[in-house]
Amino acid sequence: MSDVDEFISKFNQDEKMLLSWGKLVCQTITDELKKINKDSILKIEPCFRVKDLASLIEKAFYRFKGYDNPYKDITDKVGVRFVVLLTDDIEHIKEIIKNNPIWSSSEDRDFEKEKAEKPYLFDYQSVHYVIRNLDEIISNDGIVIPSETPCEIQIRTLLQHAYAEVSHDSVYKCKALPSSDIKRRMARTIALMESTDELFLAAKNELDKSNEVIEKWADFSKDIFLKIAPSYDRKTKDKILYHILNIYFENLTDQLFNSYSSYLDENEGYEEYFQKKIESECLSGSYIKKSSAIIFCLFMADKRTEIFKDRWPYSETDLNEITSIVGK
Amino acid sequence: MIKSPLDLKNLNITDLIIHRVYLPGQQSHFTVEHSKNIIPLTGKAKQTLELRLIKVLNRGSKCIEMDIVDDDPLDKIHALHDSSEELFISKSQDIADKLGKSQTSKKHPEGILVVVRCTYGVTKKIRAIAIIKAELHEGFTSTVKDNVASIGYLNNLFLTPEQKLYKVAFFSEINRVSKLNKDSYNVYLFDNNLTAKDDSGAAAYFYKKFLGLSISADSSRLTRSFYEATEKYINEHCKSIEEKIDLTNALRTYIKIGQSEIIGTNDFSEQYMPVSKRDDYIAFCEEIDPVITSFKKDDALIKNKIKMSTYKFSNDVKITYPPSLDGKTCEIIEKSNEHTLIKINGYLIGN
Repeated sequence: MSDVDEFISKFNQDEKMLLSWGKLVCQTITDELKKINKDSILKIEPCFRVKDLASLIEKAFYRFKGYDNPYKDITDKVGVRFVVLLTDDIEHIKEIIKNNPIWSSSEDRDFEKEKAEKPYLFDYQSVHYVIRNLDEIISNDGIVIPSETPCEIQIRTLLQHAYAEVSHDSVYKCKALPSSDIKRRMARTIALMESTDELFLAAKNELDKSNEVIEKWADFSKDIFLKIAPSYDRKTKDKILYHILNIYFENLTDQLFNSYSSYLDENEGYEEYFQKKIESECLSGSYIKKSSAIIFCLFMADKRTEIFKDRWPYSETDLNEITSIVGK
Repeated sequence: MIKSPLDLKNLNITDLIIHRVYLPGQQSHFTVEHSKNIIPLTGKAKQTLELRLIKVLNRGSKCIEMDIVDDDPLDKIHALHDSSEELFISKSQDIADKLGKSQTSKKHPEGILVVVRCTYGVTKKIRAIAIIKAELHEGFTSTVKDNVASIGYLNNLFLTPEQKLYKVAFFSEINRVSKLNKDSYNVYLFDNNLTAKDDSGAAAYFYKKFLGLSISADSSRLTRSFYEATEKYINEHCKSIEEKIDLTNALRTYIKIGQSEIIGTNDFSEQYMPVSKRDDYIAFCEEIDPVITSFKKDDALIKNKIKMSTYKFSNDVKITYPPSLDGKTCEIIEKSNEHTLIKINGYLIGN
């Protein structure tokens, strides 16, 4: 049996196991992201795949990689890929990989380090990890995954992914060797992607600052409303709340927040009173009764009456109903 | 006791009765047509009436606190609290009769007397009686059905949002005592006629003759308190000299020349301040004196202060001038770090 034949037979034997391992890794990381409420950073459904045999053999025997033991040394026989929006999202997945107790991990490739080492080079960017399970694992479908089975995890942004796909499909897979002109264009593309990412991040950070303020007010409104209306689902997007908070954004000072956060504690009986009023017929706009914005509105109507009335975005009837609850 | 403005949270109307006061054809005396039933008020009707009361009585409105002069009407009104339905009806009829007698001029409009028993307050429920005199007015109803429109005519509408057409006296029982006295009630009055300089008795027959109330003797003190609190706010919160000068002038003009007889922090801020400052200013003043949100103007104690406005300059020059509505008596045309150009709209007559 030649080396190649041996390689093929071993791989065929392992293929199901590798696939199962890929699936498990993919699921584990996705679950962890959900736990920290960060699953929204995934912009493409994460996927896992086992490398196809032809490219494996090419890599093992024809690309002069100089492996002692090609089967063992090739660590990306199974791979998982996560595509996120912007570079600062990558960190969340890196943390999950590094901290998971069922495997050991080593960073195989990090474009940040590559950038520092070769600042003039504009090439494929991605973060690669190779993880290995510490103990033998039996997957849900009963397949035994022996300890120390490697799995490659790739993490990249949508922009990096776009570059990788184009370069992989049209340059790398192309039979003709790419001309220097094409190489130059590809380098320009990744340079542009890097700049775009930076601009997006700057814009996002600016937005995040405003968001932080809005979220602080939103969170508190939701906390209070949940006490008054236990059926309120904190997780569904409360569009009215965010709309109203944005309208009064300029007025959301820290000082006012202090007064907001102690409003119900300092005014005995308000909580029960508001609850009774919200449940009753005296608010006809059901959109506002069902939103935690009602708490914010009542507070503003009471404490910042003039601004509240001046900027009120909905009907006069609704406004009057709200202000009358606080006797204004 | 430190007074606070009316806080009508949790206003709840419990009973309501109406009587009609009218002038029979060719007669010179008003007649009262009694009703004999308490009107059950629920749902939207109840809510709307509560809303109307809140709108005219809340601290942003032009309702003012009154002094009780005559005990007799207060006795009758106080008696409404603990009376049975029957007694409530008959006592409210007495009150209506008194209104009929108080309407001595044909200029006093016909209308409906609404007697309302209610409570308000979130933790402590305060009992109150609202006495409303509402004029009837005309209006239309409209319906469109299958693309055909029709209009109905109504001539007995009352208590629509048009605030000119009703007066409200609100008797709020601040502490329950076994023997009734004037101090156990705060009384507030809303009447659009009060805001005019000369109300030609359009308000007095209601609050004075009918209800035995008088405009608070405190008016001059309140006016001074309002002036001082506002001045303090301006000095502490206005960043530029221009803003300070403008607002101080506005304050003097507002008290000295302003047309409205009912003044206060709400009204002043609405007329002269950007919305973004109003809440701050109102809260600032409320902290200093809670009852200056709305009161009857009386400048007796601050006549000298509001008589003249002043410009002071770095070289000891001082210009004094009377405040005016248009602010054009003495205008700053141009100013720099070295000089100020002022235009005085008058000619020189001496020194």
